[in-house]
Amino acid sequence: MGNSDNSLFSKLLSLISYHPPNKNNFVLPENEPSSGKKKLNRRWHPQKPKKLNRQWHPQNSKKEPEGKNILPSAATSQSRQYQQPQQSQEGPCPPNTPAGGNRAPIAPPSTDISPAITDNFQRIYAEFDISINSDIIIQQFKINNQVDAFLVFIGNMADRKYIQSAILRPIRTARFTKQSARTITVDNLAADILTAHSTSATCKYSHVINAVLTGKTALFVDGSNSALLIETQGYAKREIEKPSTEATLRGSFEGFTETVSTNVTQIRRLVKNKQLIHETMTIGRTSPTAVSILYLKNIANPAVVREVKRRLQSIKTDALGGNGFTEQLIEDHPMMLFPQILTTERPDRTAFNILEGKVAILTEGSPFALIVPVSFVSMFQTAEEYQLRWPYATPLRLIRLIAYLLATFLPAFYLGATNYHQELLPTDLIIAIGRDREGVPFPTLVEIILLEVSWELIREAGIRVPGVIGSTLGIIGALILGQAAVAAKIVSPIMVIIVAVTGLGNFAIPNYNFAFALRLLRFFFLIMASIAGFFGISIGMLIVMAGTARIKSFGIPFMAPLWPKAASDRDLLVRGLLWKQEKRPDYVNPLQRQRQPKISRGWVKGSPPKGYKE
Amino acid sequence: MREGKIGVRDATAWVLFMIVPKLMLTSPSDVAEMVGSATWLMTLIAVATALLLFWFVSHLFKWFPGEHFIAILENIFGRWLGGLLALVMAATFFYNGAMTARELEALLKTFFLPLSPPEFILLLISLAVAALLYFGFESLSRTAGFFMAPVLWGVVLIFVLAIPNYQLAYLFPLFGYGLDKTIMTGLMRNSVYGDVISLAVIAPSLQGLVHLRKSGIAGVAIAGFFVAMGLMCYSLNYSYITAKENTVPLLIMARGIEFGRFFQRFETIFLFIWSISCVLMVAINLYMAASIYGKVFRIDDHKVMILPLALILNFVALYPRDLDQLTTVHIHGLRTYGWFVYFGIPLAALGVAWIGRKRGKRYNAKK
Repeated sequence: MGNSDNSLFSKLLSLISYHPPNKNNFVLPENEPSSGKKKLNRRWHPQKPKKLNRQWHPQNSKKEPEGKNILPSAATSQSRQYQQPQQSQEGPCPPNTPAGGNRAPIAPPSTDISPAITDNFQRIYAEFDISINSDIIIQQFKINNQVDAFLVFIGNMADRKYIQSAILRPIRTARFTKQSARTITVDNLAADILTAHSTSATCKYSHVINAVLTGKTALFVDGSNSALLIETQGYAKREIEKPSTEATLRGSFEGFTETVSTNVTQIRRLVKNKQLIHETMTIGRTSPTAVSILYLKNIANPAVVREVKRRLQSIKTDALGGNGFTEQLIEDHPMMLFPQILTTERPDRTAFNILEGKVAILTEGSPFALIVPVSFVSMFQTAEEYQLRWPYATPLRLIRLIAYLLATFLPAFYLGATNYHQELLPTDLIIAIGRDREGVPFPTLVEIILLEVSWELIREAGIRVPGVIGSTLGIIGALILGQAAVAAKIVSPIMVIIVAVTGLGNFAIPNYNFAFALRLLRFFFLIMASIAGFFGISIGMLIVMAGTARIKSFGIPFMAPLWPKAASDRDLLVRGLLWKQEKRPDYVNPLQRQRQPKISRGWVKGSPPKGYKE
Repeated sequence: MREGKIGVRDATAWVLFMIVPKLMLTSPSDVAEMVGSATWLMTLIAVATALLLFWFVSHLFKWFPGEHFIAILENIFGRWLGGLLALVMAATFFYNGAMTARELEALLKTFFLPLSPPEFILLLISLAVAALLYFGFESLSRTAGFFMAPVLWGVVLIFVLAIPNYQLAYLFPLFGYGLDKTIMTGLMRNSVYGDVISLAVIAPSLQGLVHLRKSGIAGVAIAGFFVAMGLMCYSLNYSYITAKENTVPLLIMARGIEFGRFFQRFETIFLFIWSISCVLMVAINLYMAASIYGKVFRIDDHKVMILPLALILNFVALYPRDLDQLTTVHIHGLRTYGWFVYFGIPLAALGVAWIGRKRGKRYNAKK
């Protein structure tokens, strides 16, 4: 079979006519042995699918060692528990029956892997449509010139050199005795022969298919009713780079990438705690996408963790295109403007939130983490603030608060003041505004909307145009457009200033989603101001506030800890001293509130070393 | 009706927003006409009376633990009479809300939106109230909790900024038109604080008698402090002869604030305080009406009542012929005789329950 000169047809023929050795010690079913009768029944009657065909598998659970030297004999491997694949276990492996053995003549296609390699080959061939699917590779060979085997992988997703060095070469160079050759199974190979660092066995075709689609390589051996899944991913991926939307001057310069495993590693590097649980699942029927959740088992509220899992498990969709999809599918109030989930592309911020008792959700293909539960206070905070001393961090936070107010209310306030409440403006100022507006044909509302829409256009165009040209286009566009509009008497100069300051305020908001909400609210307040001046704005504020008071993020009121009032927190609008932040946020309801002791700086109580002078 | 739970802070804000906006509207000139320069003293007597009456009324919840006021009324007077009395209370709350909306409309029309028709302003108020009611009880009380501090600080700011205009001589004679008149008016004007009885209607949301008493007493005491302060500052700002002539006294006071050529005409900035507090007051009163109505007729979802209530609000608010009739007849009547409903009905229920030894289902179990 290993002869590459043979045609595919002849290989198929030889596979079909092949009979395995009579004496072959097959592996036991994956979970627990049960009576043969029962197993046989189950063999031909696949279990009904469970309601939610996904289960969570903690990633830090103890794995059986799979080193070459640790599991030497077939006897040991028989008693060994399989490392479960990440997808799900739908039941124990069916019993091992010899190829062409005791089988019912008519049966539905089995979900379990057959001990007959011919069946497996045909099944894999059919599942992947290999006759037309050009990048699926099946590599057939004989082990010790006796036992047929084949590998299946996707050419562009698996590392071929690694397959060669960790799978094929060890198998070809291995020396089998007559006795041991009769007991070749995937388990023996994984334990004694292969040099691949991460393998797992499965008895389900669905697992094999999903694994191959993620870049793994599946190894089938004749006589084994399970396949070995070997981590051989070797596709091109982006390296760790600076976070582009949450840049800082001080602090980590690492951002997430599109690969979940890399992102999890980054978080694990920062949270070195055995209680950090990483659970995975896949979502999507047409294209299963890996989703991971991370939390500290001894700190995160179990109810929140359960709720996160429940929501993720219940999703039935085609595919997840990124964490934006995940966010929209699990948020509490899709009709509300404000985001109820924090999005960050910084591993340090994610780690900090996990340490506070929150849950992080990572989605394959997205360089962002979702954090739940959050309150509106989280939207004010940046990663950099915690790196700076409190006297520097607090004014930054206050400036950001002013930015929020400007971004939301400034155009509406200007419109209300100039159209309804002229008495508020000092005489000199109103004269200056009137002089500037002389010759402008549009009412103030139209003027503002014109400029606001132009600003949004420049912004959108700046994002779409690649690289440096984008930012240049933004600056040049704003300057030229503004200057030309003023010169053409389409808008007044003060209006350009108002819109520019509003735009700056919006840029100062660290959370992109929250900034978006405020951009939309700005137009709402603008309309309210045009209807009834400051009274209209007041009504708008009441409505927005009442709507926001209703929002919850995974059971936590969005306005907490202010409304409803939670226990005092030293990290709200004022960023308190780090050593005084002894407790985790109350509104998160963590299992352990205490973050550090009352006196976290032990040195203030101790005496300095001898010779030290104050 | 499922109303959710609120804390003492939000319940206090609930009471505050039913009382403090009265200071910002036409009532101060009404009391200035009644007691002259002793307005602040009179209101302190009203506060004491209201607190005492509320204390008595709260005993009902000791005898009928875990029940709301409407259920207690039905328990004591029977379904028909109890329901009727409850509907009288609902009508009073609604009437109070409608008249407040009209006061706010008059204020806006006179000072800020002279070109807008009254119907349009009332429509805006109704829309805002409908939106607030739509979001529900918890949202409404949390919104009240959120705006409590900014509104109270804003009121204090007006008092402070107006200091240059104060004249101590305006405070005299200390007892106004006489101590007896001041006390009698004070006893009657406890109606201003009678809205505290609204807590009785939402009692199950307050997690027990202790919370009910705490929030009621705190609400009336804080509101009383601010109203007394406001009336004193107003008395210090204008002699009682002028004081009774101003339509919206506190706004006139804010308008008088001036610090140089640049800092003047502050009343527009304070418009936010006026609008937010008055709209909240209308919304809370309307919610009370809807809640009582829903409890009497066993309507679980108050949302079905929002649109009709908002529409009726418009018509009832337009009923007073003019501002003069609004202040001298409707508002004066509500603030002076409202206690017959606010405290009279609960006290009658208390008396009947005491005489008839009526107790709630869970009374003995709790004991």
